[in-house]
Amino acid sequence: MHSIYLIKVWKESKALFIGIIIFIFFQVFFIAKRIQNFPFFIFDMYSRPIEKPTTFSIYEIKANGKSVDYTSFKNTQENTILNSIQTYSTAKKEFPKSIYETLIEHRFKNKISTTNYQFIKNGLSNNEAAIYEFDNWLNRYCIQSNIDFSVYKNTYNFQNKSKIDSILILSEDAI
Amino acid sequence: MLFNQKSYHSIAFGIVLFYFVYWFYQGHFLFQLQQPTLINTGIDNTYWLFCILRIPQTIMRFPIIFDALLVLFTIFSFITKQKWSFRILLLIAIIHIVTFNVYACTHTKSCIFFPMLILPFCFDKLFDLVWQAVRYYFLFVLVSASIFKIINGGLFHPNQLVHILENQHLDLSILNPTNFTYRISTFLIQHTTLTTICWYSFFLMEFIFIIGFFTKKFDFILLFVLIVFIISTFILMRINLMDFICFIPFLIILKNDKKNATF
Repeated sequence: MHSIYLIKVWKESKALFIGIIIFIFFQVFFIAKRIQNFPFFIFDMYSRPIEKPTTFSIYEIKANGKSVDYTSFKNTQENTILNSIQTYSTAKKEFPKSIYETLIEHRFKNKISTTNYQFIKNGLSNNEAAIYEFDNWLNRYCIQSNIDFSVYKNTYNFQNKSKIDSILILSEDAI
Repeated sequence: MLFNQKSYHSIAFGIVLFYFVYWFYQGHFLFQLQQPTLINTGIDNTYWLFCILRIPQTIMRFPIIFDALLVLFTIFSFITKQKWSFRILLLIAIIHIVTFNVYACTHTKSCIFFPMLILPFCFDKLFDLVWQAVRYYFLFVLVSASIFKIINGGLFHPNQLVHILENQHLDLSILNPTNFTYRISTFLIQHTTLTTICWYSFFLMEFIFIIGFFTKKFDFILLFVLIVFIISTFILMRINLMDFICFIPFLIILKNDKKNATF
């Protein structure tokens, strides 16, 4: 019985034992809630049934009239580009509201003072300047075009890979 | 001491240095983000707290200084072996990770492994117990992945890996259909029996880590499985699990340590 890990911990350090129990509690809690919260790792990727797609959307970055193959970039860089474009697209669409406006309201509105609420909201939101400067960052980070560049969200038919729809997300004449 | 702390120290230092080189190659340091403008916290409460306190926003004003601080403090901590130094390093590592994820608009789950690797050094007398706790956590993460596949119904779903590959490489199908990964995936999608075998192999590669809860005798096998898991996931799905290399020091116990080990 003495070889069971938690019993050993209990005997040697009560503080560590309590720390581990609290960690286990939150790990189980967030698994039950299906919320990813740092530092609790829920490794459930692709654990749910996946079906064949009928249509799909991908971002197309065009620089100097040519498509940029971001799949050839480093893994981290590719993820950063795609997630940032998605954030930009949502932030621009929702502005002046935050992309998490509903959640911020649900958690804080009428529960704290207006000043504090605004302080929290500002900390979690992108301001106008950040959205406005995004194209410069994207160009600096990966495109490095000296003519022009644009970003589209294209939708394709999965079966024959034909383009169904194309939405312009960003267009810029670079200097 | 249950075992020689020195060997874990040396292996962990080696892994961390390799990890930083890999970070640099991938563009994972803050200065390599080239002054990003947008933030995205996701719905992670910890990220929210950091952003409300304006920590990532402040750090991002001096990205290269914070990167240098992380690297120098790592080297300093591993050389001096001071508990307080590792505690500061742990804090720096957590702030670095949150700042990067917030400004890269990503939410990398496995980034927690790097602070986990440092954690045992933060406790002098309790080193062995914390080391074991972290080891159990790594094992839990991998075993839970296999359990989730059963509970959520993905494991026995017909042609699950075929559909995963189809969904995972949608961008490659348009932008780079001659890509090595895409060609392998296309082959696998056409050979469903082979793909089903691969799917169950992935499940077993995760579930096999349950052995680690009961014994350390087969750690060298688990180490081999871990490396195969990292490489195969990257080749087949372009999913980067390099953070999992932080688990390696918990699977290597040198001969010298085994003599002293009581577990």
